Amino acid sequence: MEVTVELLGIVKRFGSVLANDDVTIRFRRGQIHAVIGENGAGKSTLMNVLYGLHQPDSGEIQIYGSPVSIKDTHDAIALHIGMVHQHFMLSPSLTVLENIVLGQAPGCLGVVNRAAALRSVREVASRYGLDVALNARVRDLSVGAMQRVEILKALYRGAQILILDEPTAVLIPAEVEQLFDILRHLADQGCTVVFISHKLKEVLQVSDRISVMRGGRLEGEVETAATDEQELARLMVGRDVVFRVSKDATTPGRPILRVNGLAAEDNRRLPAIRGIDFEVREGEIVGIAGVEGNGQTELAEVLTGLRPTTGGSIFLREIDITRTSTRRRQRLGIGHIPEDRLAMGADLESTIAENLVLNRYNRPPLSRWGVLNMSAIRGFAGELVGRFNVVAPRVDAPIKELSGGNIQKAILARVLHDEPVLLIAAQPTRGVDVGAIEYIHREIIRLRDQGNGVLLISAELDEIIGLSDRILVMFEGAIAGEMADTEASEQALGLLMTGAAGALPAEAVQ
Amino acid sequence: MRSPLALVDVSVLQTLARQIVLIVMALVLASIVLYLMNYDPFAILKGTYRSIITDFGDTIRWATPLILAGLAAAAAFRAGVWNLGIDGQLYFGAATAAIVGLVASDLPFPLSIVAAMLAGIVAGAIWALLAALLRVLWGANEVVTTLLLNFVAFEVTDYLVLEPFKGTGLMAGTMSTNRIPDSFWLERILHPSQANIGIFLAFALALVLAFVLFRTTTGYEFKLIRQNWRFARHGGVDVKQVVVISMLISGAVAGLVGVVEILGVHHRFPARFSLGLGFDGIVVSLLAKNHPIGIIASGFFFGALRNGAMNMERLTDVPRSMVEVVQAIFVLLVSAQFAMGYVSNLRNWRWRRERRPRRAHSRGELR
Repeated sequence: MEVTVELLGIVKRFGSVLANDDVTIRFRRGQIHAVIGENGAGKSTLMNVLYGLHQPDSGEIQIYGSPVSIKDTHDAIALHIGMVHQHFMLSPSLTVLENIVLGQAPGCLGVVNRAAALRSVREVASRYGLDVALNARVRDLSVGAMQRVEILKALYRGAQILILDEPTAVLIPAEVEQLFDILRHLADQGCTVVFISHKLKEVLQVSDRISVMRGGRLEGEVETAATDEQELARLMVGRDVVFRVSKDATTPGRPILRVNGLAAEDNRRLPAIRGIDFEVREGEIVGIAGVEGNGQTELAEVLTGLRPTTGGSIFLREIDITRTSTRRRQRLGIGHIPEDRLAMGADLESTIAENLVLNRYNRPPLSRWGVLNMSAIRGFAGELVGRFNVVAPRVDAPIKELSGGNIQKAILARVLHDEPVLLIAAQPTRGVDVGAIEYIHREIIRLRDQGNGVLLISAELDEIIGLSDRILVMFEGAIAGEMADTEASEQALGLLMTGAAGALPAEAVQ
Repeated sequence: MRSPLALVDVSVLQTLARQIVLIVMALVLASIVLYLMNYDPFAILKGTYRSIITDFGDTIRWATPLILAGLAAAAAFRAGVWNLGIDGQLYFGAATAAIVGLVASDLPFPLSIVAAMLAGIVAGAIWALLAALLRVLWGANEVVTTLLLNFVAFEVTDYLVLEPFKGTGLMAGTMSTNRIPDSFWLERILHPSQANIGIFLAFALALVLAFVLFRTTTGYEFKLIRQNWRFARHGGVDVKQVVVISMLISGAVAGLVGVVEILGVHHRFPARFSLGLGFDGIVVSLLAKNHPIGIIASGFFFGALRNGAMNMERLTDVPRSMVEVVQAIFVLLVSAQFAMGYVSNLRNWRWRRERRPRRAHSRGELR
């Protein structure tokens, strides 16, 4: 097949970090080419170089065999390159059509020829089989539909080479399927599709060729048909990886957390949790599945004391903690891995040590009479870094110098060192590479095996099914269903997550 | 690099070097302005030179309140709280100290000063507490409240010298209280200048503040809420309480600025005696990147500049208002430096997205 894009010996350096180290990749017409790698492997940098957002320090880009220089995104668009970012660049108050033609509208002297615009967008949409309501306002669309708008926008601007940066990260399973259908259709129509991801399953499902990056270098390139998850993971991480951490059966003991009729509001003061009841028992991992934005974030915050309740009560063991402060709950044994690691889980401007002592800086031996004991703090941080395999240069380096996986390990270290009786883990492996995922899962299971309770909130169904002993599905602030791990399947959970519980056979829903 | 676990490290030296470049740039720019206006372009250098070499006493006289006001600003800024009400707190501190001197005039010597200081410190802290409470109870932005409370403080202290504590005899008609007894005066040093032992107080306080900021749990909490209050809350830090503490410290130090001005220099409370000292303190603190030890240096620098202004007037035909131009140039350069940091953050933003874990799914996107 014809080679459309050649990235030849691309080197890109940011300060002391070598983001791309002599990377050579060729993309072909009519193929879906996946570029995978851990966070920080340099995938996005490479794509940003192709899309003109970064200038390579050396190396050459050839499009259809001729060398080009892509100084900005205008150059990229002129070369028929389009990119769909992870963060959608759409204006929510405009219609789909307006968003698509924005800046490229047919017409003259600033007067948009609406009919012509509609005609040409329709024509593009039908050619590529993209189904979007052109007159709907973007803010009313689902995330999947917004993504289709982004794709259509790129195609309308003439894209023949389409880059998608982690497009599945924000989608629910059904939308992922839909996206893959679209991508295959685009490839059939002769587009070159470049698909950035770190999810091996999806890549295996949709792509034709896979390039694996690690530490800025191209680690290998394989035909999708001739590879498997194990090989890809090994290329990505550099060692063998266990995907599903095995766990022994458990017999849950007494309840640790009991929630009765719990209600809370979101930041806009709209009801986010509408009277839910559940329990987490000793030696049990309870998974909360659900599409994000259905009250999971608020649930974690309410349980940890960061958000007030508007009704109901929370008991830890037999203690009513409904109105207890965050710090007091910590002392009582609630550990919290927050879902937004960078905004809440860590302070990027602080050092690793300062991040690690958050839960105990005000207690001996780390401080006495309000005075910090610096050597004790350093010693404590060093011990945690060692025990939890955080790869860190020194404990007084800023934590932002660590990779996402290592920041998460540091957060895990801080939380687990307190030996919580109840761990609330929200999206504990989001954006973390496969090696670290394995480690985090092991630690969570170990905590359970010691007889503690875990509330696992995750958007990854794999993770929920793999780790949980019992699964609750949240939909619109309520619990839409409950399943034991033995009977849970992605399809059944997926249905519950979209509120379509009625469509399930009765025995699957309790 | 930015480890607050160490009082002095490499980055402090780097910062120092950068600030010196900044100072030189400001002086050069100011000299160009002087030249363009047909004044002696070396007037500032001459005046400042004199204020350092032959007239150091009055440089110290100005450095004292500038360092203290700088420390007051730093105490708030280090917690991410914007206390722009140092002037108002300073006036309350000053007026209270003067009132103590007038009312309890027979207190014996060391006790007199201690009483006046404590009263002034408490007065400043209370004035700052008002703004802090407005913020933590009703969410009123302290930038606005502290600023507006300044005007209230000016008017209230005006009233004090017009009515209940109006000066008599020599002071009649001067918008000032009567003199306080000399048992309340801070000892002068380097006669005949107005420098006084308040400077040692400023040094000591800088060390104390450095200790509090870098070596105590309170300082750690300040840093957390300044850099990431969500992280602080997650760790169980009571953010509101920390805001109140930082405002109390800041207001207390601001009150002390007023006390030292009254007991050390004026020996009475003249209305509107030092308009703008609080804002100069903010500039002093910003130039030192809110570092207490650096504030000593930048306080001296601005003290020399202010004193140099007066010398300049004496030595050359350059009007004193030109020094305000020079100060304005500094303010611009100091704030430009902060803006630069912000801009380079924006420039780095794109590739950080690659290096940092994804935040694609922030709340609401799926709604």
